[in-house]
Amino acid sequence: MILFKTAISIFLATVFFEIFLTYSPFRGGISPVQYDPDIGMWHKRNFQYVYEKDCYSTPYMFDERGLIKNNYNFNPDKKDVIILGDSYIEALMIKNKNIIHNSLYREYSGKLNFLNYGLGGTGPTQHLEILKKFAQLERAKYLIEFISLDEGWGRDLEEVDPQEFGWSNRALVHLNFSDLNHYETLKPPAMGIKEQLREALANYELYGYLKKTFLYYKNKLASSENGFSPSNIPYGSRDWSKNWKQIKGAVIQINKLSKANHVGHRVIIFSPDRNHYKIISQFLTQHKILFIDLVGELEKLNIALDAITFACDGHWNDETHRLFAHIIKSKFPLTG
Amino acid sequence: MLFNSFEFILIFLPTTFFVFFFLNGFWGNKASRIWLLGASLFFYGWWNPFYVPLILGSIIFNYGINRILIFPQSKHTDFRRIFLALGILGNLALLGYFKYTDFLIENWNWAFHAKIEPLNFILPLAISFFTFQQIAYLVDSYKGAVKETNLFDYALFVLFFPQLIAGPIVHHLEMMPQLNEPINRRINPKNVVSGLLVFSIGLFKKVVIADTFAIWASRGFDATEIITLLQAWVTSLSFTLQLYFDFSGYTDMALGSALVFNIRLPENFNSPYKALNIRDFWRRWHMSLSRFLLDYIYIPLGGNRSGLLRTCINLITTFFLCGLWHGAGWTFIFWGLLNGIALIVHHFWLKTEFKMHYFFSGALTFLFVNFAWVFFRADEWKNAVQILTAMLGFNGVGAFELLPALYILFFLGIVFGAKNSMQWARQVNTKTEAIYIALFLAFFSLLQLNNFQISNNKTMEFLYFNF
Repeated sequence: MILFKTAISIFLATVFFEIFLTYSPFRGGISPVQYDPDIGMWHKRNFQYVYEKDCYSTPYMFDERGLIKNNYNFNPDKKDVIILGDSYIEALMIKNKNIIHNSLYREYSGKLNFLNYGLGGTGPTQHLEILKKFAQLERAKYLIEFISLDEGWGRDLEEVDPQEFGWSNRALVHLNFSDLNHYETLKPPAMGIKEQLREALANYELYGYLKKTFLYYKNKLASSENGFSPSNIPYGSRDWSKNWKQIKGAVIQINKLSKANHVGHRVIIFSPDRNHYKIISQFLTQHKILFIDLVGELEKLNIALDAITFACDGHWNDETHRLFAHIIKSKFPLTG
Repeated sequence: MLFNSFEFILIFLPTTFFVFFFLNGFWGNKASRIWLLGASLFFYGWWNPFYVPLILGSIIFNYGINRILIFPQSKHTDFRRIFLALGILGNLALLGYFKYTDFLIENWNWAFHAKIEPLNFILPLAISFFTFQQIAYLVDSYKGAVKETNLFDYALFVLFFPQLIAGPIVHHLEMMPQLNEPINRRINPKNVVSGLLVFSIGLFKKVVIADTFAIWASRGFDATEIITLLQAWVTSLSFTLQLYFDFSGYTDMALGSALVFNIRLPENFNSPYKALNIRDFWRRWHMSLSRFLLDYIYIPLGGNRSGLLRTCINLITTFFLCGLWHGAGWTFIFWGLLNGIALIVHHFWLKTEFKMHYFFSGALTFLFVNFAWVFFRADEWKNAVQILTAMLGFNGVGAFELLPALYILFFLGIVFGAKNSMQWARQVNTKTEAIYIALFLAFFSLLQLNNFQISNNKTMEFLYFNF
């Protein structure tokens, strides 16, 4: 009886703590994604929550297909612009009206429907699979692909390396390219008990809390040098030859798919690492793929890189999204 | 060491408790007291061992003065008065040196355009509390109200860890006889359960409630230049609630942890925001400090026995010192003066014999206290003025935030409508019931404490920590 009552007390305290976390400034967020057998994860459909950090507390919403919600009325009579990208484009921390697709919609005066397929923790290889699985290419007129390239900033380079499978929050699909036109698809692992458990727990604040607790004490116990972390590898010392094959292969495959569907493919590069920029820009030029260099555009405007992100977070802030939409409009005259 | 830390809750308190009663049972009262004294010094030194000699020096100094004041041959009043003055001055000099030197330098520099470098001392922990406690002891020794005691017991009276950091400011007669009571040398299950319940309530008040309001209060006080009407009210009310739950939570933890050692410390809060006038407020808020101010400042100054003007001067002086005690800054002094003025207004109000409906008098008192706390919290004078200007609507209405508003309404309801923690703890009928309530509150609080640990890598300090 004593044990039972003790268990009840602890259980009730845990339940009330979950409620407290949900309705307090200590909200850490619940997982915005769920397991997807082809990509590894995808946004929960018709889902909304609040993304919290010290410097923002922003409500975010996904639509019935798991896309970042539009703040305009989708018009089926107009053509679509598909936007692919990582967490910079997913932008859960940005006010919905300012997120790149909504800013672009305003910039282009509503002539096209801009649809945001951005997903945090992904790179070009996953973008290709997202495009194949979720996008309606037959309705699209343009495809804008955002690629962020930097060690320790954008994670695309690491993400496309199958050797680092599962390093991100969820195990993702990877493509193992033998050359630009041939690849093997490495599907994410099937949903096991562990994944099912995570899927269930991830609907609660306590999941993030426990995960953070586990990581905190794990890092405290073991010296962080023993564990893998990209920041532990000296800058510029990694061998990216394999990763470039993945990026270039995925870009070419996206380009081929776009051409086959008469969709104009545009690439937006964000690469504070100028060596990476050089490699990708030469490649895109060689394959006649139109692109914009966002860092170069910022330099022209005399805007420092640390001015475009949040103070507590390396993601672009609201003004940056609006600015980039403006830059894209000035460079790409997309027609409806 | 903080009460709201894992090392205190999971290691220090249980170890001190078990070893204390083990030694009491097997080695006698003396060994257990040595243990308790050692543990208290360790508790104090955990923060900064450098200041352990300081507090020990202060204890030896005051004990020495006490020996002279109670020495039978020293009945000569002037001789004893000189030593009392010496003792009080010694205590005030120590407090003044550490707490007020930089404040004086700052004002000197401002007044005479001088450039004297501040000393930038780290204020010794609990110095304001142990100074007041020892001054009270000396005055009582002078009055003959103190019984013969040895240095060891005196040191334990000052250092006893539950009350060391932020009170309650204990009178020696309240604590020392309890330490000598033979019945208190055995574990008393009833006291242990009650103590743990009161401690858990305090921990919950601090970690869950006060630290939640702290976020909204700090956010507003950190951005006073751009604050608007609704934000300013959220900020000031958040701080008003934060301060109450923080300090009363701390006191509950002090009372609870003392009670497991069979020591009953005096209560420090009695639902202060339910006060119907400012005098009533000061009878309910930080009661041990109010008692000290009354017994050792206001009454010795003459109290209300020497005419209206003198009463007003005494009130203002007492609350000027109260403000200064809370902090070396003009905002604290102004806060003290505001309270002194309010007490004078109340004094005159009583003379009119006009009765105000209790709803209006309660609301007026609360609004005044809330208004005055702005000066207490603001880092600078200009920040306080900016908050108050915004509260009066001069900076526009601004955006409404639902979550803090709901929290404020809910906890104002608790503060005005519910019993306070001590009343509630006394009402819990059975030991078993108390254990499970304590377990619930403690587990919830530990989860939140861990949340601070993993998020900020620190636990939030008590507001009264450095007073």
